[in-house]
Amino acid sequence: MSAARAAKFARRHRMGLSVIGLSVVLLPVPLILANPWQLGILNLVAVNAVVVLGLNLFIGYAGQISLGHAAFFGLGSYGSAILTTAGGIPPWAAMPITAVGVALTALIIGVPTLRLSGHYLAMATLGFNIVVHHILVHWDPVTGGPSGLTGIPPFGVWGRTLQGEAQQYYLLWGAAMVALTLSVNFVRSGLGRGLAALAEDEVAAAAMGVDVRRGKIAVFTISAAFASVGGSLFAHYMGTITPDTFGIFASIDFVIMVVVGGLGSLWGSLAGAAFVTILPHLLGPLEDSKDILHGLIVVVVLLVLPRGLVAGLVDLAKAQLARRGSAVATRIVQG
Amino acid sequence: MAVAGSERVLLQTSGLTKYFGGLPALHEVGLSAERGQVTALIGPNGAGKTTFINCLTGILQPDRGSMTFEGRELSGLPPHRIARLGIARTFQNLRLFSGLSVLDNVLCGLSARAGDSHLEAFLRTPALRHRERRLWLTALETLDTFGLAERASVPADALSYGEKKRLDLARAFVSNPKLVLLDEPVAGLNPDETERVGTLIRQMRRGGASLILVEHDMDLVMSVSDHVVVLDGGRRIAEGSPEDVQSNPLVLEAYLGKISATA
Amino acid sequence: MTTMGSRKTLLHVQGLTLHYGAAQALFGIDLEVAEGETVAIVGANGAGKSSLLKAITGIVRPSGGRILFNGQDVTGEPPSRMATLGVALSPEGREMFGELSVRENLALGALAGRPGKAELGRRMAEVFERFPKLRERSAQPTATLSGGEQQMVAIGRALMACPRLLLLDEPSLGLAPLVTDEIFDIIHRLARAGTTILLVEQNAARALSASATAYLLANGRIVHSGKSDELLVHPELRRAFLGAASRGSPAQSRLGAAGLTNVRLEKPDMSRLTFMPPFASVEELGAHQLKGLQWTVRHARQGSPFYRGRLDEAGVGPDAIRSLDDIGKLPFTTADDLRDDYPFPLRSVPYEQIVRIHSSSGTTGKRKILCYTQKDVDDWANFFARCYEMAGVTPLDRVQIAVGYGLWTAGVGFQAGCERIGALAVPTGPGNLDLQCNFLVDLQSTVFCCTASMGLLLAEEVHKRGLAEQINLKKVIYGSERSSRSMRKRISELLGGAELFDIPGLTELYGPGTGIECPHHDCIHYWADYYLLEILDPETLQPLPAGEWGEMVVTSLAKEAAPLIRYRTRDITRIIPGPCTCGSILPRHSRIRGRTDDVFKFRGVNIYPSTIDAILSAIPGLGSEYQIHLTRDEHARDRMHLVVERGAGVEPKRGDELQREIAHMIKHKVIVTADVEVVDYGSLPRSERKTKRVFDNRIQDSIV
Repeated sequence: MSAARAAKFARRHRMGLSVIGLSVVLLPVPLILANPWQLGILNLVAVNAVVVLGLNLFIGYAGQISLGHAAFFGLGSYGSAILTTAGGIPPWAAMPITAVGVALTALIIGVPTLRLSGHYLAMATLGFNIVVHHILVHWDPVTGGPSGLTGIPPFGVWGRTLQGEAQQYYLLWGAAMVALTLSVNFVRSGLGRGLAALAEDEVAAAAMGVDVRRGKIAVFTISAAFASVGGSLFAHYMGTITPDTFGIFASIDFVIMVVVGGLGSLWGSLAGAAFVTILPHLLGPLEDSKDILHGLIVVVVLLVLPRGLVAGLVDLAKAQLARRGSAVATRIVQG
Repeated sequence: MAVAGSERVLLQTSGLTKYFGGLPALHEVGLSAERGQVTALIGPNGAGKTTFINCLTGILQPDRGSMTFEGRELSGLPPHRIARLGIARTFQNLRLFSGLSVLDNVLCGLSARAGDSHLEAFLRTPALRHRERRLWLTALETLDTFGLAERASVPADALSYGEKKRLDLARAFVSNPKLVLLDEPVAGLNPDETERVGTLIRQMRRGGASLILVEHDMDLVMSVSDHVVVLDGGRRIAEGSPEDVQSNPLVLEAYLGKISATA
Repeated sequence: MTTMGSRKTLLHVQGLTLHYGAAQALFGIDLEVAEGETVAIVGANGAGKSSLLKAITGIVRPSGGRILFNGQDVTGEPPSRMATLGVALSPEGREMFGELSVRENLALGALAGRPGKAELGRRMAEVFERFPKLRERSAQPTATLSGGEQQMVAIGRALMACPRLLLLDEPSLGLAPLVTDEIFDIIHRLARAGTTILLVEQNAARALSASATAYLLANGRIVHSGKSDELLVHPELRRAFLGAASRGSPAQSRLGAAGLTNVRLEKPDMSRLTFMPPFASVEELGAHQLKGLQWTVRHARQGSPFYRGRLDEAGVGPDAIRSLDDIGKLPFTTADDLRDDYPFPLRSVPYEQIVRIHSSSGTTGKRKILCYTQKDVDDWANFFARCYEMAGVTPLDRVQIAVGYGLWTAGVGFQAGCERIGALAVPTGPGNLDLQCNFLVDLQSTVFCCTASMGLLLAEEVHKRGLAEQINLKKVIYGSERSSRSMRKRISELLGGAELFDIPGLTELYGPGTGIECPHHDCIHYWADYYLLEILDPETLQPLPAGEWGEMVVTSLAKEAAPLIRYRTRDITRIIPGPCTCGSILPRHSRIRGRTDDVFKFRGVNIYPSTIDAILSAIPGLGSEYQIHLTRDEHARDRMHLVVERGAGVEPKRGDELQREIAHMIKHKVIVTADVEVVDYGSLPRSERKTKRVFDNRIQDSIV
């Protein structure tokens, strides 16, 4: 294949190639990074990435707001956990069944809630999260109450269950790559564009034929499904879950990850999930003040790079180059 | 191209009335637009022209009266359904999707045609890819027509005002709609750009589009329209050919006031 | 600090540059505004006018240069400071606080200065004095006001700050002429009262009439500056900036905008002459046709030994025709019959009655010669005039006839019809693009007659020479060749939106003009009072139901010298049943899809070039020209190589996607895999007459 044809091929399939490229980069990491604690953090990044990708579709692309996605994450975890422990259903089946159930729940609450917008929508989703959290804490017989559930079986491949961080890494990052591919595909379709349009201007989008109401409900349901899958993965990875993980602060964490990575930037979702999950651990003694740290991260990023990490850095580079260029030109002209 | 054996009258309103608070923004307005023709809607500021367009496109619901398009009643339909019937519009204040690229803006104009299912979208099936390619080619061709092909990947808010106006037009025409409602397409454009838009409008008309044009620029209205309807204070005060309306004293008075001295 | 005359410079901008991220909007702007002066900044959209105002008011921070206000360096100061210093802005698009009332909006204008209640009241009274209309509406929310009233509020709001410098950003935007007058009236009065105004406008005429000094801005740079009244009459600048309004005095542009200065040509009293047939109903037409058919059979039998022989063979007596259905009894005639009876085939009248012959360009064997009596010639001119009438051609039109004269029926046919309808004929004949273009410009021809290929050739030439604005071409009447939708679209676009009319025609049946494309452009009306049209299956010769494609078989109803009885034309079309939206009751057929011998076989499948036309026309971004090359490879399998031109102005990098799309659609619709090559626009040959598109190289000579 000549160089020109290779270049053309690369351009046509640049999305797919980028995802594959990222996967290739991620592959050898467990072999290099032997420390299981560090791998564990990366695994959490993968789980968060799955949720954040879905949430970004809702917040970033469709321009809506949800401060309650940890509820779907929690329902996904608990649903999958209960089905596998009490119901005896294998994890590979429990995950999709739970996802469908969570999606239906999202559909039911979405229909009335998504008539709202802005602050009101935020409050409604927050309220939903509080209700779910409350149920998780108090419905002892089913959810195990404040101490949660234990003994959740991990995923198994070909009869053998996954043991150790390295093996879980491949499962979790595999899921993250799948989530990334699905999101990237969705965004590049007519439906994805319709969402971007309604985020910019609902009236104009409707005038183009976009069913705004349906679109919002659909993407809300989809993002809930993503969160549920993330939750199931989390449950089977951790083995033990407690309701505290799924409170409103967790929801806000997810939103922070979306915003820091960049609203509407899918690669940014990965970056945001990574940045927000990893950074506190790197700052040693400040680990415990996770919440304050998250808040600070958002504030700093929004002040310096308002469009998020990925987009913001790219813009900054372009602007600097342009200014350097024109300054040089002026100096040349002036002799 | 006109469809063989089809009705001449494409759109008809009768007795259309809309109140804002206690004030009638539209009062018993009747209008018919014929297939393949440009029907202009003129009148001084505040005459109710934009309210009329908003009623037609489902953004506002009229209080009384009917609007039929190809025989179908439009009142009560939500805006996206009306769009899917083949009615497109431009906006007086543009309402572009500023964060999206020029090409994406035009692709959004094809939203009604994309017709993807969620499953197809996620899996990016070959059928979807073919449809996307066809949409992409169609959008680019429309950008060629409207002189924006070079700016295809530029974000919409980086365009000049004249380019934005043309983008609004491209977005409306790309889906080859049966009826296009143009809300002040040359407002704020200088004479050369106005001329350019006029040529594009004539070109679209030759291609068989039916248009309802709301405008203040009389040169444009007279040179492009087949039929003119005049609104003032929410009422229809005159209609006819451009020449007739031009010399109608009621229209002159409403628009220009009493002319005391020529310039 | 320079001073202009005795006035002090209030605003001085030096070498200002401005960037938005990576994009540069202003490239070193220098300007001065003296106290009490009105200065205009004129420029097109995107020139940088608003950017300049944003820099002056402090909304955007400049990237270089200085702004001096009243001697102080205010570069980069925030808007709040600029407001305190006495700079007030009436922004583009007015920017009303929609939910607040007029009074509240005005009050906000004085916010920066923080005047006391009494002072505020006094200023507001002054504003209402200036804008009495606002006083009536002082409690109304500004979102409910009309555009003009909102503009008044915007200016009033700026005035509430008692500014030293008033910035007006496009005050006439989106306002009707009368209202713009009012606004500029106010601006004039403010100027007379000594307010320093910096006026930014696109409407150059208005801006220059309202100011003393002006700066012309283009692409972020000042391209000219000077006194406004000098700029107003500077010819080059007028053309560049006043555009259409420069045709008259700029002050008249207001009246011009209201359409009151148009000199209207009174339509001359055109005679009510029409060439359309008088039939009021389909039944009347049918009765006329029956009479014509009966006459033709009798006349042919009497006058032509050839026909007598054929009719006797078929067992058709002179009175055998009782109804139109009896046409099925009549025998067929074909092109071979015309050649066999050379040089006067089908002749049914004595030689002394023949006044003319015409001939078609026979490609194989002897030419086809057809003869005409005087009545035939007159009939033909009459119904050709009908074609012009249906196309809307009037005695005011100038018809440039670029088809072959001499033996060909086209030239003479078009001209006779043209003279009959009373239009001006310009008989240029085909080819000679130079002449064609010159006449189009000099004579301002409004109608052009040609073949489709010639039409494309001319349209491209007109485009190449940039003449589209200088010519006055409204209609193109073309014929004798199949044309695709994209070819038509292309011709129409390049000629500035001309209307196209396909005109069918057969040398055997008088010549072109036996029908014409409907003014609604969805069918061709044919003159059924002069001939009967049957659509038959080319294999079985049985009639096909209305709407199906088949071979055109024509029977003349009034032709004397060489009548036609069930003549097989080998052209494919179909009848379009039902009444037409244009109101004509004359029956209709579709545009000719091709000839029965156009079709080529490829791997056992019959393919019409018109099918390929239709597929290519539907793909956006392609040109109308293409070639099909058929070859046989070393394994004796047919291969199709399809070469297609990109549309004009379509970037080469779209070629890959186009090629993929074409291959996909051909596979999908014709079930054939073709090698597709997309080439540059204009690289395939065009012809003045008919373009050859199918090149079949599979036929190998077996002769050694």
